[in-house]
Amino acid sequence: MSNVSGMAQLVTIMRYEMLKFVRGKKLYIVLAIIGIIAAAFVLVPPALGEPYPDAEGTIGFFATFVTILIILIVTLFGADSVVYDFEKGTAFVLYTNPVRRRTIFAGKFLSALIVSAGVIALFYVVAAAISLGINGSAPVETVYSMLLAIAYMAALMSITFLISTTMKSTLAASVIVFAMFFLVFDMVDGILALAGQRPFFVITSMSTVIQDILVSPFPKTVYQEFGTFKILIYHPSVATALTVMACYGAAGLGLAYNRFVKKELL
Amino acid sequence: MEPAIKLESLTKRYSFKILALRGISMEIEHGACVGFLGPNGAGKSTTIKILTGLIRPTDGKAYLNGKDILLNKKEALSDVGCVVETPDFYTYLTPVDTLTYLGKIRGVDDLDARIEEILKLVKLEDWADTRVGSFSKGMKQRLGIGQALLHDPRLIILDEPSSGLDPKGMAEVRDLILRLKKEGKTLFISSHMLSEIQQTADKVALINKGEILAYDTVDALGKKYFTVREVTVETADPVRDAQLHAVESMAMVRAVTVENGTRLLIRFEGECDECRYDLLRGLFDAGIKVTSFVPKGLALESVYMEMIK
Repeated sequence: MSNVSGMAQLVTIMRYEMLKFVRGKKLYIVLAIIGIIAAAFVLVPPALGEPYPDAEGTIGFFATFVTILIILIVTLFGADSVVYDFEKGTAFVLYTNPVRRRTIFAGKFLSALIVSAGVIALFYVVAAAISLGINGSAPVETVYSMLLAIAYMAALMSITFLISTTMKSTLAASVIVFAMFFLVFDMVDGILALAGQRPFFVITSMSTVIQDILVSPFPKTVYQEFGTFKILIYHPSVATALTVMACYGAAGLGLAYNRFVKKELL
Repeated sequence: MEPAIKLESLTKRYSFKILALRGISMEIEHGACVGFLGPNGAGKSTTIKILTGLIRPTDGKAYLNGKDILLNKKEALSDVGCVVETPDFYTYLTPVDTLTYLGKIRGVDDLDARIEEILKLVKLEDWADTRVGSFSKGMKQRLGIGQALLHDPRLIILDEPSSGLDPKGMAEVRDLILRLKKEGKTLFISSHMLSEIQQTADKVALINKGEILAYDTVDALGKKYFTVREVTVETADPVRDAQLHAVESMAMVRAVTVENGTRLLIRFEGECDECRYDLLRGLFDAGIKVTSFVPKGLALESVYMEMIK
């Protein structure tokens, strides 16, 4: 028997974690959703007798779906990553092997990240291909938007892993992840907007840069008046958004790792 | 040489109220087959989970082949195979995938040939390419045993290895344990199947309420903790008063109860095999036509029941 290095074990774990996505249904659900969005964009305007939008408009249309797609991706690919092993008992096998917890954690996180980034990239490739087909061009900002979307997904995935290491059931973890990113953060964002406060510490508020990067000039934070109401329409800069994403990502990942290595299989 | 397993004042507290292990200490030599017995909640699974790195002790140390499981889990588990509780497997993998995955994690040489060998050993060769998601509990248990033996470890820790298996499967596991014992492996087996332990283990550790009550051979435990035994005797004809009196007057007999005229419940004292032989001969000498002679329970069961009551 040879002495296997941590790196070789990491590669093995990542390979089999990715196999989980390939052989499971979740990846195909997300791919089907991407297919539906693309089909809707291609088929609906001609059916309504409307012209297609220009290249910026085409990418902008797809970018409006990216935030919800990312929430769906982290819920499906990340929420059960850790909790599944502890709930179903698969940890009794893998974790009793001579492999460090940090290697298992890294393997699970990196594979979820790579598959999720791959799906987001595919979504942008589809958008760019459609834009090229219809308009003969795709704006270079498509790439920036994609990179920001991947960075945003990475931050959300870190928090998702923290929830996955904290919860005891896969269902609870999935529901909490989805509800938190889809509702809770948005509610906080909305309340702060009504109060005229900048929600610079709310991670979901940073997702606007994914669309804003496609707009020229880059949108600025403004107050919009509705009668006696003044609502803040917040547009963080790319630098602010990336900083907040990095903070959430690092904190989420650090806490998730800490919980994971200390987690006991009772 | 360091013992295969060494526990030093191992303590585990789950909460203020629950103290699962109360500073247990124990050593298991290489090549020994040790049964680990105790009722539910005694601390068996907690001990095994600490030994396999699944939980941390509140205090104390645990060593596998001389390596501290807390400080060096990777090295400590490198020559250990274990089945903890009823293991589950990733449903998207087949047995071949699962063993390949774990074999690569462990760096098993000539992996394909070894997987084929293991699948034959645990009788899963016909399901080699079927996804584990459709497996029964017994099949998963077989795969669990297979993965524990994949890297041919010197030390094997089995937590309820017969759990979920049918009687044939249980017998096969027992034979496998005996075979591994013959190969010189060190075996540490937690089980509720007292007969299985009695047939396979050299020594037995009895645990209750987080404390090791006894750690010795089955015979030694029997001599030390259990002196009064019971036997049920069926006779062809009703037992006459003179015959009953003859039995009662035997030196080792402590009490005799007659049921339905043809069944005797005899409580006696003394060494197990020798005493039973003397008692049987005494019954024949008294002219009793014995049709059945059944000692109550197994020696280990008697010790177990005596100690945990």
